[in-house]
Amino acid sequence: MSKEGTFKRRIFPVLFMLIVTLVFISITTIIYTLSKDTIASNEALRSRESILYAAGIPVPGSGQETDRIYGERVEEVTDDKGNIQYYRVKGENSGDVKNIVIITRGPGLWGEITAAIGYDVSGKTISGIEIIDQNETPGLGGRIGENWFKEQFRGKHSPLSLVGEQAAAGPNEIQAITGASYSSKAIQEIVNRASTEAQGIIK
Amino acid sequence: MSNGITFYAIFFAAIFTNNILLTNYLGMCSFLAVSREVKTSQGLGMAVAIVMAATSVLNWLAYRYILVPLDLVYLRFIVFIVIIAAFVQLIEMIIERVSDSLYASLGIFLPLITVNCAILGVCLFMVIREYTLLQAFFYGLGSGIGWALAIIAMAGIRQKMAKARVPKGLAGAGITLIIAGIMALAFMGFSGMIQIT
Amino acid sequence: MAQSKVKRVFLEDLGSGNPVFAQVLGICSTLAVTNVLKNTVVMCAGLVFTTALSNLTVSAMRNVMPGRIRMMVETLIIASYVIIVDIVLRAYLPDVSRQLGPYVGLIITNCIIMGRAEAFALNNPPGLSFIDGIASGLGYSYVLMAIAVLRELLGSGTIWGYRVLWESWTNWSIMVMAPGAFFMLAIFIWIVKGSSKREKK
Repeated sequence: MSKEGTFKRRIFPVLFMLIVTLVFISITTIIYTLSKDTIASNEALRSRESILYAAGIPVPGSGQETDRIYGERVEEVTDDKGNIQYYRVKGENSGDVKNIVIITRGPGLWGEITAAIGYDVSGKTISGIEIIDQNETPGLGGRIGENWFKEQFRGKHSPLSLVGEQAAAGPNEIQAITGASYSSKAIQEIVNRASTEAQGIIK
Repeated sequence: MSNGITFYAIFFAAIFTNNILLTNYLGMCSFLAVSREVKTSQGLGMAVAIVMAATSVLNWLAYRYILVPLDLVYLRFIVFIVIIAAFVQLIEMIIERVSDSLYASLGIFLPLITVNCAILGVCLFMVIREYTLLQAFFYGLGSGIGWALAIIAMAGIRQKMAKARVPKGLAGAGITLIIAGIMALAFMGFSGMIQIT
Repeated sequence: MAQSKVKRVFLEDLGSGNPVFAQVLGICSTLAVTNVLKNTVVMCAGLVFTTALSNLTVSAMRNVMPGRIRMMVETLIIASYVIIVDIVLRAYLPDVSRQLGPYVGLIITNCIIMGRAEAFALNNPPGLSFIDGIASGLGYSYVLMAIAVLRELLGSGTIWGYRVLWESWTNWSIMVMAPGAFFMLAIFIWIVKGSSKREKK
């Protein structure tokens, strides 16, 4: 076998693969590096928006506005080790604490659900919930992130119970999502557990 | 690290209530192409189950100990695909050496597996859901068994259907999809079965 | 001459050679998100982008690419473009990206992209391959979008998140759940195959 043959059959494919890999990995790395900060600030903004939403404050459209309101009205309460325990949210003009918001996690059908849950100062009435992160089935359990589902929590007391999607919901009842009873139940449990926590904080 | 979901719940949910084929439609291409005969379906189903269980563990390790520490998580698609392809290639070589009969029954399906989206799907799902190693293994195994179960059942039904008269436009892919739809309905009936508390 | 060729490629991919109807290829990754139109549109846009660019790249390399590692190189190219789609979505459309979850990554294993690269890009010049990529991507997209419109409309009474049907409309939950997609796709294939047979006569 000639030397050229060996090169063509053995070395060239490996070399070619190597070069292609390097080229494409560098391209993706460049794009990733360029958008890394945007992704990170998206995530930070998202968590601030969730806290405002859970406290019942209308979330402004622009990121700057959100940062401003957050800076003025939200106070992070840390435990001894410096971890954030919960958030105190002040009223619009007064310095009084109007709401507290807890960020909590719990198992969903497929993975962890992270939610921000807000209460009034009594720690009993829910001022709002926002799903920060979830991996439920898109279009089914994933609908826990939809507005109609989240909005129905406002003003209700724990312990919550579930009814069907198009059934009339009573004072402390939540409409479950059809076809996603497990995800709905997961949220119910997360909120009920957070309520116990909130009452502990108030005390 | 534990997110409180027990591994047997994941295992059974992956087989029945959230069958990767019937609820996520992953692996449809080979499902439609190969489900004509029970025997070939068994071969392919078994191969998929083995590869799925093994690659979910391998990819979990690669993700946790290589990609995350090096901050290369965004390259995961490439890494997962390469690991799957390499693993399939390795298995093929081993089977070829060890047993001719096994190679004849299983080996021919292996090249098909690399492009089976269900396998990559399992790997991506397990990463996004932050499973532990044990959970990932049972998720991979369960999904593989679930996929095999669906394709074998489908092949059985299609064999029976061979003599049935199907409207012309519906023959082939159309009727297979309708059967898959009915199977998905039947599998939904399992959803009350698993109570995780 | 060149224009007619472009036109032919385009029409064939959208019509009789449509990958979904002709071979039932590549429905895996996207069918799952067809219960909401918005997600479907984003997925399809990602797919058109990936198919077109990977076709272009594979075609540009076709004369130097060693045959034995062809599949590996193609997979690598496709995976890179999908990573780009994923990063862009996460940076600029975080809400959609969160909802789609792992499905963006699954574009890699979509058989259409690989299929077009193998069947078309390896034998045709880059420009034409690019057009073919866009056309087959679009041909695939319109089928899925049609399915998504019907599923969202019947299953949730909305289109693109807006309420379209009257308030007392009872949602057909089965449509947003898994079996709905199977039935819809089967009916679509039935209609298309039935009508194309009549044309031939």
